[in-house]
Amino acid sequence: MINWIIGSIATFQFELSRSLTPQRLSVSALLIMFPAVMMLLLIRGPQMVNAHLPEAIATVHAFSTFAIVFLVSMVCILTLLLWAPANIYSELEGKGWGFLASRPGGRLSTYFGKYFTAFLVSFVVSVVSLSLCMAIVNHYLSIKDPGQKWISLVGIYFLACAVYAAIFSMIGTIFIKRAMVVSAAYVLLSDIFLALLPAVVNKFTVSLHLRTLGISWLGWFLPDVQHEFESAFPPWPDPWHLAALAIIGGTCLLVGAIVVTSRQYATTDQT
Amino acid sequence: MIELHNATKLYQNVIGLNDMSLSLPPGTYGLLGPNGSGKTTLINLILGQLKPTLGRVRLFGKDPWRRSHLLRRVGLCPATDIYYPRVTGREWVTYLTKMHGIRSRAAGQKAVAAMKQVRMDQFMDQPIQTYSLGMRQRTKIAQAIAHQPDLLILDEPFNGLDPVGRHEMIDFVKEWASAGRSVILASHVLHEIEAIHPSFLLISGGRLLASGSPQEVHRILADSPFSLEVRCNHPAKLAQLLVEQCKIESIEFNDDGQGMIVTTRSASNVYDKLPSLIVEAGVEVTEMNSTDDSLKALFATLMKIHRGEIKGNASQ
Repeated sequence: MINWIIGSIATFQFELSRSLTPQRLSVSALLIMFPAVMMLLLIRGPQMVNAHLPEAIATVHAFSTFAIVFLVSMVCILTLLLWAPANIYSELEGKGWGFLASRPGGRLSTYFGKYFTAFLVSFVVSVVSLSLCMAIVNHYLSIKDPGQKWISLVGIYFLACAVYAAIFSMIGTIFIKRAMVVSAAYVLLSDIFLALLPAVVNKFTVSLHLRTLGISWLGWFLPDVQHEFESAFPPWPDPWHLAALAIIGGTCLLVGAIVVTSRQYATTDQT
Repeated sequence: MIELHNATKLYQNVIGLNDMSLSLPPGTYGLLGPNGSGKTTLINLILGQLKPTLGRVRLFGKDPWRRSHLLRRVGLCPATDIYYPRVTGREWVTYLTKMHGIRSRAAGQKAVAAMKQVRMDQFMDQPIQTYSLGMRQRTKIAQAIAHQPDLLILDEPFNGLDPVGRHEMIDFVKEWASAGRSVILASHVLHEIEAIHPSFLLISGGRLLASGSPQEVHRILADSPFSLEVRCNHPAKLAQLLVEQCKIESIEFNDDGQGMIVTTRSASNVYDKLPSLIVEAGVEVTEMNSTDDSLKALFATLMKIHRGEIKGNASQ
């Protein structure tokens, strides 16, 4: 066991050092800037067209937290899609798998090391992006209790990155060549479609638990009438949601670990 | 060290390895076979990267499938090239050494020692993408030996190397083997493996066709049907003597009248008698070479022996 723990840390360090290339940093910077630029346009847009548009500015203000959450969540998912699902395929394609898998516990080390890298990169990108967004919104519209909101959202993105990275990493071990497409399809189907269904099935989605925790920690942040939507969220205490997320993430990580150690991955160069 | 008992590996409908049984004590082995013969499949089965469809495989007495701790005693240099832009040789070898469960500082020291051993210490802080093919091969060897394995497996290590690189590689393998450690060297080029004087494992079509010492392989080659092109000033005179005194299947004269292609079922018989026949005929031989690629001819012969079409002296 000590082998693959040291190996996982080594993979994590190695992958992290490889992430600090100009290309990868540029992609991360673009992702970080995207929500900030969008928020700036949303806020400054009405003011630039007509300085006297109090209704439009009030609407932007009312939806500002929702807009931040929506945009930063997109960035979080996009970053994870870039990093997590290609965990095995990138090594098979880059011909590195033979070197890694021939190490004791090499398969698990690669799997967990890449999981932690995907988690950390997406979390850092999400938090920096969130911080920029909140700074911009607070500058122009002033957010109520920004510090508390920031801490709550950082907590939500920490959980989101950990659980989605586990799901996408598992998908990466099963669907080798189309892992990113399958992961994107999963997000659309599960966390956008199923999570919004008022049925038992939505309790198995990550999105529902994250949104419920978000509302619990941030308070109701939409201008709609709250009671119309209350039935869409299970009335569980927070620890239950945290446990549900831990179970989903842990199960996915475990399934991925079982698949990666038992699957006979085909390398391209057979002689 | 390695045992296979009726090991078969199927890739859906394609046979990667076909009912192979062998037992290899520690030593130096040359795994010889044409491209696609099953060499890498055999290596992957030995390393537990593939699970046999039928039969069983043992590495150091244990089933390597899902017992990856056995890999601590093995160093693998795969045939694949390295594609890590911007990563230096030292970083890559250190990383792969850490993957053996060796802590950071010790892994770094072992990586540097291994890079020195393959004479890459001058270049180890340069990015791998700036290395020549020979330098990448040596770096691949370094990652395989850094943790001091008992068994070193080299898959096509001579691919793309220039003559100097090949010579250095041969010297390295000889030096490694002379220290009493085991080596399996997979290649599709006979003379590259011959230079190391290993025990041979000849595989084709996923089957072990023969195994044995270099002398035994030479005997198989000598008794194989083969074609010999002889260029001389009076080929007809020499042809007459060859037909009278050797086991000749056919002789085909060249259009220019300055040579012939002799086909025989027994190369050794022709080789033994040819010098005296040349003297007796009083001809001047300017050129003589085998028309067949030696390995191709060898495997064609072994396949015939395997199918029972001709008798042979192979160990298996």
